[in-house]
Amino acid sequence: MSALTTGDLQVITEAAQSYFSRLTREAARVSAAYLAERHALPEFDYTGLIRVSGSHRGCVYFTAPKMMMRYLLLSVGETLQGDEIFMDAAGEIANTIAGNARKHFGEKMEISVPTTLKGAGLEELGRSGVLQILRERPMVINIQWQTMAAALVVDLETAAA
Amino acid sequence: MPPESPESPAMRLLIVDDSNLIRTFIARIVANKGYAPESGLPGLRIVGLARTGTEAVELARQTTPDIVTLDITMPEMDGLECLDQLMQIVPRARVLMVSALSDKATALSALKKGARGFLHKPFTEEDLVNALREVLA
Repeated sequence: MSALTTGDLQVITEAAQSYFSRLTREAARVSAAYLAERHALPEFDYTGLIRVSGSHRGCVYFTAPKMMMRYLLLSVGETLQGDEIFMDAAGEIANTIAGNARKHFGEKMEISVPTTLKGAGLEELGRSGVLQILRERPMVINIQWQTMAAALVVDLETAAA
Repeated sequence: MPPESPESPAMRLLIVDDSNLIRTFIARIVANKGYAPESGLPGLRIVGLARTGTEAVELARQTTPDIVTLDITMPEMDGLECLDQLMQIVPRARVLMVSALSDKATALSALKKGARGFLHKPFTEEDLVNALREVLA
């Protein structure tokens, strides 16, 4: 089993940038990926999580504050607001970034439909087995769009043959 | 949206995606550009919005769409399975796959099953208009 390479992370970073610039026409500023502490991972108001299996295992999740989700939806013409709509958007962002990354990692990497949650629920997802953080220090990519900050957490490794 | 005229009836569009964000984005673009002369589109009228493959199949039976935008990664029934059923129900419908899964195998599989085009997520307004125009050409 091996961790992600710099090239792998670059692909994921570019997928995150591409999402915002193409959908909203406003580029997002994306930090270089950094190693976070397993027990202090970012968690904002809404989270979309994709589980990865097949050639790789782990997860990718996107987490963002309510304000970002509100403005992101307005930018695509969605005037309805609410928890379900914000959770849906977080899931779609995670799904698109993971799907784009699959092109680089290969079609044997399988991605789940999104699991979405509101508020601080990652710990509960961990207890229920939906979220399994594999690495002691998963990678975090900070995303700033307009004046708002979100994060993409990437915890992937190649699966044992 | 301008009224449909008897001389040039609008084409009937079914939008299928489990994400409200993407359904709204596509619907807004079609509302803005579906009848705009500069878009080169023949006139598009949205006849349904489906959140799942199962809903899409039911709506296709009810609305007999001319064109379908179809996501792949959806719960219950994925887009490729849904495509198989749509081709049985509305074989003349032109299906544009819209997905973040853009590997060759997935795209080829969709095209073999009868899809006319593949649009990669994330996409811009221009990307969608161009893809719809190509699928309808």
